[in-house]
Amino acid sequence: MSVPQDPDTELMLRVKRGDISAFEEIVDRYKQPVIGLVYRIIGDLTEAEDIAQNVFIHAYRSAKNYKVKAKLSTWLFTIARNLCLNEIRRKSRHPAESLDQITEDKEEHFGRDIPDKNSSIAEELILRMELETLVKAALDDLPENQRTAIVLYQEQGLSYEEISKILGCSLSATKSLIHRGREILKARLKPYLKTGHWETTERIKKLSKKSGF
Amino acid sequence: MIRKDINKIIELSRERELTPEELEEINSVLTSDYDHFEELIEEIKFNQLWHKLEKPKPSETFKDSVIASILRNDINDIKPDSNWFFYHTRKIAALAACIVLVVLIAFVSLNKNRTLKTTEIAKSIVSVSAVLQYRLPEVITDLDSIKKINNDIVVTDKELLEALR
Repeated sequence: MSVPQDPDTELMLRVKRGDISAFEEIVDRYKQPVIGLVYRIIGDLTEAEDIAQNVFIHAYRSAKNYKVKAKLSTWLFTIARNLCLNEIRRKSRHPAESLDQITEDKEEHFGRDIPDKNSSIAEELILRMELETLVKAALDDLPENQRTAIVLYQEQGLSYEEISKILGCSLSATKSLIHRGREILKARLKPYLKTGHWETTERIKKLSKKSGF
Repeated sequence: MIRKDINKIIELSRERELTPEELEEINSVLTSDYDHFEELIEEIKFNQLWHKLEKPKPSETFKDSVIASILRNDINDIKPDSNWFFYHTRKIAALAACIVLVVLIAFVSLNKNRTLKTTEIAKSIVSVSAVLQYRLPEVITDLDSIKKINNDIVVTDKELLEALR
């Protein structure tokens, strides 16, 4: 089935004819979404960037076999997911502790950098950091396919049909995967969804008032 | 509020971060006596939460690295195809020289009714190959010396090597 309305298709057809500038445009458009997805699956920004680079290299090499069957984004996300799965498998076969991880753990143990108390965005930053950590922890507890489906649905705004193509499963299976994943996440993030603030944030606010921040 | 509008709000909250005005409007339209009030607020908050998450930013050199890798791969891929002969010249020249020498030795030995021992031929080939491997350019320019071998009756390893040197 052709998808003539996808503006990226024309770009990809140009790449197929050997136009490297068209490919540069594709990289510009999709570098953030691809890194975003890979980061949520892998959980490490440096690794995510390396994998994302490989995604585009794979895409370019496969350009001559490219057929307009689905949206370009779907195709790129499929490659990204497959490379992430390869990386997860490789890691499970050769587990190794990352030096970055050790540094992060130490930082966490001794406390993170607290933004300047005079900064007007300090509270906002703390909130976001907390939110990021909690969402990441909740996502990490989900199985890979559920995590990928949720990220594609919530963060990348893809439709059920597109996600089912990327995951290679039926539409109903995809819907149920997303529904169950959302329910699990909602349960984990209940305190935030109820009040709009994290309990710890309230504590930070009280402490800030006491210490005159 | 009809279900259609509620679905529209939920879909919108998934697509993008709602402005404070829009959230205010939703609050004013929704009433706590609505059956699924809490559920709906929770749903909107859940969708909005994703827009608050930090989007990982690619490094400034990301695109350049991708394009450089592609071009590097392209060059590596092209070499064997378009310049195949150039790429394998050394191997081809070495093989051709070996064949020529073996034929020469066989020719000399047949003409003079002198059969060279197999070990001698093998030794010659090994010596020639060894020399070819390291001194191929000299070997190629020294073809005249090799031609002279044809006129000699007996070819020893030493002579052969000297000619090749």
